[in-house]
Amino acid sequence: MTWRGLSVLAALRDGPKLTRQIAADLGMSSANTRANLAPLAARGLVRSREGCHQLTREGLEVLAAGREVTSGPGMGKAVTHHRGTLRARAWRAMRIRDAFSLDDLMLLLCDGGEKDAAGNLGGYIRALAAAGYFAPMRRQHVGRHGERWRLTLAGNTGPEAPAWNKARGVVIDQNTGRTFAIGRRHFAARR
Amino acid sequence: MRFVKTENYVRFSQAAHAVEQRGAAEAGMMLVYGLPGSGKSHVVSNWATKVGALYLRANVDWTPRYFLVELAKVAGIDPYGPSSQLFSVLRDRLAGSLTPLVIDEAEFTLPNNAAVLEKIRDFSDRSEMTVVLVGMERIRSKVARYQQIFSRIAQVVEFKPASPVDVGHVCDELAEIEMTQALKLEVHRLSSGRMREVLNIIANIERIAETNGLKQVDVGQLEGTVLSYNWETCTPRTVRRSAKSTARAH
Repeated sequence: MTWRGLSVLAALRDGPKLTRQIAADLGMSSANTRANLAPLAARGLVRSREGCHQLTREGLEVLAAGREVTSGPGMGKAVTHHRGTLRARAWRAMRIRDAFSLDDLMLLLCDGGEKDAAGNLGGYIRALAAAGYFAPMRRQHVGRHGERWRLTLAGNTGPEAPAWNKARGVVIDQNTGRTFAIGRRHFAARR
Repeated sequence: MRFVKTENYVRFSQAAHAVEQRGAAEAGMMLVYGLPGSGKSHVVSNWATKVGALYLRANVDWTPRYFLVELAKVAGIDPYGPSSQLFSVLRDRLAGSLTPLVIDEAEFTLPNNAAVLEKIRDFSDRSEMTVVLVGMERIRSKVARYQQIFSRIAQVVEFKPASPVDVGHVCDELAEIEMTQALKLEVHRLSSGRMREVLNIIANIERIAETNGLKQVDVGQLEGTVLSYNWETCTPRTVRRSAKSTARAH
């Protein structure tokens, strides 16, 4: 795929268009155009329905600012848009269970094929705890990962897993649109 | 540490797959039942996190309205308005999404002539959602009284006590000390294959091993030790070096 994100946004400047109209304007194949549109939609810059695409408010802002748009990970939205990730499944498990520890989640979710599951999930739990999603349980498990938590009523914001962007030190909740700046220092993987 | 795929898990997965591939759209219900502590909720939760199922735990005071409100909350929909309107909104949002619905502790949907279960059945019919009901061993006969509901159940899975092989796998995966084959068989005997009891016994063995500085534990080191308690007969369950377990170990 040839990445032409900004050009695709510019092609939508005058209003909604069909995939084949964008492809014709930019001299691209329809497949390549769809491949460009998917990441833009995932980032909330383009709204797509039944082959018709239009800019969102964020898309207009990016276009007006002339900011380059990359095709890489989506600034903390990756968990929401990839529902099979370990963190997305962990969020579902947290909503199902009354209380949980890291060991509980690993025992429920991991199949042995994950890379550094304890580090990944442990960091995710601590990030969400720092953002105020959990309350600690007084009864702790014995063992390496004995800390137990429960998702609070206010923390159970909806079905989409909050995304933790470790590099930027933020948690973004797609259910509420809120962003929590939690910093980066405390979230190195503990094993 | 990871999820242990037991024989119950394999049978449940096969049944869930069969329900998803069903012929009649309205026969979209599945019943999972078994003794307490047999790992039903654990296995169904694992599946629910994989497929993104909506998961509800029924309560003793559930009513049809209460069910709709809880369903709306887990689906991220505002649970307001009259029941008929809420039902329509939920059906509109969830129909065709292929998102399954799990109802744990499903016994609590049966009071008042199964009013809540009728509402669930109605919702499943109209939205074509797959519904997994999870309950204790007697739920099967209780649900069978309601033929209009039972005829919608495409698959029934009974969770049986874990086999010695399953208990051995759990010991390998969970215990932070090494357990001999004979001790794993003894854990199976003491727990009667109930997973909840297996976890308690492993925790007890780990505590004893830590106190005594043991890296590997065998039946001989624990002979006569109380690792579990039978509350029905009020008798302790102690480790014993039986001929059977010793023979099977070899």
